[in-house]
Amino acid sequence: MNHSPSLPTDFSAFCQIDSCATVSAHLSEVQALAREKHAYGSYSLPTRFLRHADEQTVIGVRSILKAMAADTQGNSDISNDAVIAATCLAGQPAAARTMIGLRDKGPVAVTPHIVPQCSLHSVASAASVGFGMHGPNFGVGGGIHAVSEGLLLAVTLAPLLAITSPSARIWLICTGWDQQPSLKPNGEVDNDPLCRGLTLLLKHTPSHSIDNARPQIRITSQQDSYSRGHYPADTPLKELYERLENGIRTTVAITNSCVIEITPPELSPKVHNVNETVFRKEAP
Amino acid sequence: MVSESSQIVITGIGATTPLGNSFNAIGDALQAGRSGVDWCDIGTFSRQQEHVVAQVQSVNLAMEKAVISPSWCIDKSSRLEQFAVVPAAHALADAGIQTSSCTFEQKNRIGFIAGIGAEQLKDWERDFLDGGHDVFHAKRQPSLVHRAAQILDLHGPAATVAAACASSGYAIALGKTWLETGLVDACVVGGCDVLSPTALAAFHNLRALSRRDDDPKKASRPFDQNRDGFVMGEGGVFFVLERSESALSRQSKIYGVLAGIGMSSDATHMVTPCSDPVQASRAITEALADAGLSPADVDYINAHAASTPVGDAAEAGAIRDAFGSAAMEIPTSSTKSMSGHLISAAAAFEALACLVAIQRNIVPPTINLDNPDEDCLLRHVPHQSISLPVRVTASNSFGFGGSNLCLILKEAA
Repeated sequence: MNHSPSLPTDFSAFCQIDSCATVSAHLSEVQALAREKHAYGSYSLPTRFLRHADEQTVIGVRSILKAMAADTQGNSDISNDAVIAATCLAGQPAAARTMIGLRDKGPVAVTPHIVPQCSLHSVASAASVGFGMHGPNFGVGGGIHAVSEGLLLAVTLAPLLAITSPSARIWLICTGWDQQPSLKPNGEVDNDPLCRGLTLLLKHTPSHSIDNARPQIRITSQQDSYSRGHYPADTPLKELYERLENGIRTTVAITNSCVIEITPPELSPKVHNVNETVFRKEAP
Repeated sequence: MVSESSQIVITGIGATTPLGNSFNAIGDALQAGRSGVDWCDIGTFSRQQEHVVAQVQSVNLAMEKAVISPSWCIDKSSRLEQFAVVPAAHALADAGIQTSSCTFEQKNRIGFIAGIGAEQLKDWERDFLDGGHDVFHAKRQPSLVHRAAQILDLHGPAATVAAACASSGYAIALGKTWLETGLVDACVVGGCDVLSPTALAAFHNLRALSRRDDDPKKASRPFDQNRDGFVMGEGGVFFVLERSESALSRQSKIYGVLAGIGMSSDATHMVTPCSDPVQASRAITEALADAGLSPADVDYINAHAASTPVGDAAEAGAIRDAFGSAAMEIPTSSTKSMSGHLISAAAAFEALACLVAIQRNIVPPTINLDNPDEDCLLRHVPHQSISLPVRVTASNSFGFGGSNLCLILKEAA
């Protein structure tokens, strides 16, 4: 392949982080969480909205509500915001139950909810539908690279969104299990793993107005990034989640010539309960 | 950001579909109004279960071997992996990109975005049908797009995106953003999907599939009064996107320009399209604005129209809303009448159909459109393709979760 010499070799794109929130719950707690009222300010989900939802959707929605509470832009209009959900192996318990039903009782036993509620797009769609966000909504990842894929796609979508809807922001939701659920042959769950949700509220920032002291995500070109000790692109959500909770700047190598640098917001006191931690953006 | 005068162009196409495995074969089928729909036994657990589907008949590895790792064995791969690797390899070969002759730095700057809606579900199902237990003890592993990138020796950024039936369209749109922001120099984009007993049963139980089992080739009838649901299909379609200056410097064949993209969400229901066309219309309007074009510039609209009673009427309303008076002048068709609904791969297939229209100056028909529904008033092209100059096309895609997408593809200058 013969590239033109005029092509850019240095690359950078930025988003400021307006809010960041983390939520976690054990599998045994998720059903009860799904039945709770999901509301913050004027935003609330319809009653029973999550009754067919996958566990990662429930946790993802909770993390959005926490991010809303921590948003320094206050009661911003979110109607044109975009939602990107990076999930890892979502829908596994529901898939197992569905396949057991298919085997034992035939096609009639297959729930019609398996596709809309337990697929890769489901977390993003639930957030879009539930909170009335009309910007793009899509799922990302599915496997072990989900978080870095989500960060990458959010930051590269942001410039386009800034043109079509200048005030719109991107809700990047990352969800996953510390350990995957282990299921018995009859579909019953055999362990009680922790499900984590991390929401970053991102706003496109033109390169000329970047303030390096503020919380941000930056994608830049960097030669030989694999040999510089950065986190790999398949770093588990648990690790990034804990680093962000502790306000630790983190660099992830996407390719050998491209990295994502995350400068997280300052840690604020924990609120609500031990499983739900809210961060606040540094004051400008 | 790259130069504003730069355009994003399509220099390679690869396809494995129910209508053929090459741009020309698919073009011939679309031009002739040939259906790829037939009966197929998707039975499981010793049950006979005939479905009306659009199935891929064969996977052709003829010209892709040059860009596929010799260690990859098609016989040991899943159908979904075949539908990703083979057309993506074909697209790279078609674009004249041989990774074996690329430098390491060049390989770092070839991206890969695949629209795949339910990859893990399909993997677990395949294993379960073979007597395995992966769904009970799921393994953490790279998703297909990363495995495929390794097989194709691509070292750039890779991602899977899912917006249900608009998944591959989102992959194409996001590939454009990767090129425009300068993240990559070339990007393989598209999507793939496979027929699956679980998905067929789920869509059937949702009453989304056609029940016209007596005559398969008549089952998919978008915009027709007697439509009763879609016909599920399978396949994979991938493109190579590049910036125009790169393609011109390599003297590549340019199939067309990806001139504009528009994305929005209904945000009303997880399954049912919104009857208010405002958000679907907004995706079309934003795509036209991104392309710097007006509705009257469009020569052909490839509708998403899957043959569902609610969806087709909602889309017709969105087209009328976005295009205004031009809506009744612009020839519009749904190629799903021939290809069936390729689910995650549908948007990419329909982008390919738009490139066929541009390259051949034809508008493919909506076959089986015997009695257009008065709720779907548009300038339809029933039964047979028509010849006319096609320079600019619009391709709509919509998905569960209210995802709306429009791609504007136009001829290269």
